[in-house]
Amino acid sequence: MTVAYYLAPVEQAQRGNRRPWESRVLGYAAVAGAWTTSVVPDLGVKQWCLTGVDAPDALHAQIKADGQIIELPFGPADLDGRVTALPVARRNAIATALQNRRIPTAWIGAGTTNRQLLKHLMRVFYATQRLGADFPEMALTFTWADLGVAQREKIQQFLAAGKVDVSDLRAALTVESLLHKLVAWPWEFAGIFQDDPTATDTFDRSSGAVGSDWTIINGAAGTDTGAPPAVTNAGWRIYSNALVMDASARSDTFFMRWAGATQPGTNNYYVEAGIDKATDNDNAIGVCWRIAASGTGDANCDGYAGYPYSDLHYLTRIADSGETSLASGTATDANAHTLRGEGNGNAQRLLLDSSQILTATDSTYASGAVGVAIGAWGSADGAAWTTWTFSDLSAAAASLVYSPRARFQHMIVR
Amino acid sequence: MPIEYYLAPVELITRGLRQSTGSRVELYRDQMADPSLAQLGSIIPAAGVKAWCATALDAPQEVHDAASADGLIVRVPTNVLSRTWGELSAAVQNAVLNAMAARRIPSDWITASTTIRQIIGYILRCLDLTVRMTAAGATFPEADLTLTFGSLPANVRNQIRNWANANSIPNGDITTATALRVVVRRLVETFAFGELKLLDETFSGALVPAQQSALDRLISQTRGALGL
Repeated sequence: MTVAYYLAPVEQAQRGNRRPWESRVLGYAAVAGAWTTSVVPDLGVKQWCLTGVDAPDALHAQIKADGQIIELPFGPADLDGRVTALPVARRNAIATALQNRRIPTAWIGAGTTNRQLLKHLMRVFYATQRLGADFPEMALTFTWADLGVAQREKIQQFLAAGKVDVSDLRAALTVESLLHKLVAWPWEFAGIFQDDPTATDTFDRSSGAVGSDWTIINGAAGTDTGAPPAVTNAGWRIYSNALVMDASARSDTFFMRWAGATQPGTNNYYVEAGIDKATDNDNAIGVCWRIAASGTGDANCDGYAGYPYSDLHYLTRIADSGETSLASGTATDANAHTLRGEGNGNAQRLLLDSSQILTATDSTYASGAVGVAIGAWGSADGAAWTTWTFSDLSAAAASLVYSPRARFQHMIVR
Repeated sequence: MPIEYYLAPVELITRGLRQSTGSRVELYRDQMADPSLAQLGSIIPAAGVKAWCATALDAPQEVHDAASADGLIVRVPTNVLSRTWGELSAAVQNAVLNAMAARRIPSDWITASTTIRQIIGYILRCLDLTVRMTAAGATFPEADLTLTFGSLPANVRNQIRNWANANSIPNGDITTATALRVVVRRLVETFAFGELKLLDETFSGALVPAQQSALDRLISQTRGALGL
């Protein structure tokens, strides 16, 4: 048995006295003892769906031979593979199929994974289920102004309820951009789609340079190899399978940007680090999000950061490495913790060991990259980042299983 | 511990060797024997636009008393957010109106049924607007509200119109004679801000501003033109 994914028409089947709407794939699978599951858009909006099938290869061969069904050339084991790694002809065929079905593809980049592609599709389908006739099912080049007033109001309310930024809903906004907003709604996923491709770094490597997945925005690379903090040049570096940075004699905030291939798929995501605060509770080591996606130096040290110092935790807005305090509170200690920064629309949050400790409303940075941060005068004692990761918020809580309302068509057929 | 709301200067705050920009209310929180007992959140405007912010502080009463005694800090007269404007005494109303006028926040939309939550929400919108316009490269019309739109440099007027157009905010009726109060109100009351929270309290509900009739608008414009 092999699992494969297909784009297929939704058709009305005839099963005895029953006439269910279902994926065309089921016409093959239902009689062959295969497992299938589909995400079906609102039927009045789109007439095709995404179907996963666990079936013998012979059945897959029959399905693939159907000219109305498009096979996605990857299975569950390939979900973390890159779309760009797919054969060019297959990739182009998928892109054409999606564009013909009014699904944006311009967002797919070098780092986009097959999982992200599938989840993007599912999110669009979910949006059709929620919005029904108000879903903007029209050419992607149409604009916000082409939608009816009532339709615009429904969409705006829906986006606002999901804390998606609606401030740029304006006449010239294209339907393609609008779909990106609908995709950014905090959809919940489960099963094998629960986790978006997240980037993770455990810093388990030889002491020295931070590695090619990181770009030092400011603070310079450390050149010493001794144990922190008793070193001369104590910039960003790996020491004893952890990331260290001594900013104890400097008055700026310092950022290091994640430059790995996998980047946030949306503007709403969390970034989390394990921080070992050594002996001090005021070492200002933490995380940063929505930071400048390019450039280095203090002038590009912009974004949100969260870290502990002066006995409290701080959620800050950083501009040109200078710090503005947005929220503060909750005692610090000298123990190891997990610190998570989160940006969702204009809502910024800081969580300590999975519990929310600080929130702030700020609209300065709507998007950006992720990284680690250290505040001025931080880490005099050798505090260290022991792990680091990020993930899109929409992945926090996708599978082909989701049932937001009765109109949702989810079929499992043996 | 009670939560109180403040309008406070944005200052450079020093803690040991560290300096950060923040609400002046932080100074009083920092004086606590155990500052971790307090929670503080602020909405801070774009740097260089307004020199004050809105702060919510959850702290012991003595900290609120100390902060309230600071002549540079204005405490919102009640933390009962459902209380209406009409329930406040005339003296308290005047104090609020003066504080808003001094900070260039329109207050002519307030009616007897307006709640404290709506007033704070309006102030938060003004602050957030400075951030959003600055982020988009537009200049927030930070000037005496009795001045006219024409008192702003032409490039600033164009920035404001372009930003308004980009955000579907009607502005065709705004002329150089229109009072800035009308302009700021239009921006604040028409822009879709999304959720605005301070210390987990939501202030993004409907503003229900007083309806401005064509006559009101004319009067406002005339006042603006006369510098009133």
